Amino acid sequence: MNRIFRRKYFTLIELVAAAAIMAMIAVTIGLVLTTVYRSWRHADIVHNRLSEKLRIDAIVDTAFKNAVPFNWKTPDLKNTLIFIGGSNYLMLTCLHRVTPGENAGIRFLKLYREDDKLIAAYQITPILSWDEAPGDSLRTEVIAGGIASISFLYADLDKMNGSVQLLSQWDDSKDYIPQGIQLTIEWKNGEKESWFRRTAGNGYLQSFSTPRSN
Amino acid sequence: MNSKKINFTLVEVAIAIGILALGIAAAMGIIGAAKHRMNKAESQWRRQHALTQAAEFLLLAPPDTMLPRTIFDYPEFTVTINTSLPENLPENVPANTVGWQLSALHINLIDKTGKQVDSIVIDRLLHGGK
Repeated sequence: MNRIFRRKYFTLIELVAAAAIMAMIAVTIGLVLTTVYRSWRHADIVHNRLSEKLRIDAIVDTAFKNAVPFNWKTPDLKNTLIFIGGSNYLMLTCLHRVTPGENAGIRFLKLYREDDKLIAAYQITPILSWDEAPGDSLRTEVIAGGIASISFLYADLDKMNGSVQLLSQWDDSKDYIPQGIQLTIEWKNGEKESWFRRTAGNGYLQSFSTPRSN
Repeated sequence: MNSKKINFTLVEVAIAIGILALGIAAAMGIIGAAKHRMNKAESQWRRQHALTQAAEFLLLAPPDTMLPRTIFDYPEFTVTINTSLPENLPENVPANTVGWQLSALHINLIDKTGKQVDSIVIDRLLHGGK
């Protein structure tokens, strides 16, 4: 026995057995770590995607739902509605909770895509389409990334029967804002989601603004 | 000589492997639970979002309007709608008045197996009361 324990070498079988055991352990650890990494990566992707959707939820719940008609004078002193409803661009006026450090209960917001990002730009003074310089208070925020396209739909009620018409663009000659706005986002990974919200004070045969004539 | 030995006994190796296996199992358990919770949160958000899409449109549109595909594009869900008289109104408050009727709008989200997975009840003032 002492002779066996004192030897300084390994037999070929011992080496092969040791190598095989080490290989099995390495493969097992590798598989386990790969599985753990994939699971973590999947959880991270889902978490990021959900966070983006919750940010969009917050924007549509605060801006779309509180959108109100707001007029401003053009350089030639004509009253114009501060609302632009494009097929992939939106600018609106919305009521906003006054928080410490802010001094306005109205916020002017535009939503657009820049590269692959959904951008929200907002300020407390009107965003004027004829004014090229942005206001001092303009702030921008990236709402979501990895975006392939965005589009908007605008709901208008038929004055005769109250049915909802969904328009891809809002006619700027109208003197009221849409009764509902839908934002649709298509991500580069093929995922697509829409957010439809009614604007403030609009509904079937009801309005908080001036009654419309039939 | 015994105090200078650098080899491990089989029991020590077995314990080390056992601790390693426990650590890996714990890590897999934590990650697996996190993944499960995220998937659950996302599917819960999707159900709630689908219901909100339906509710927002139906509250804008006249009664008996069908949900258009451009608004409600969820192949895994269908929506059923029914109305009833609103509950818990004070006795001296009528549910209808001239030209208007207060109704409870029940919007139910149904999955492919026919199971109701979510629902919302909204009191809505409708034109056409007596």
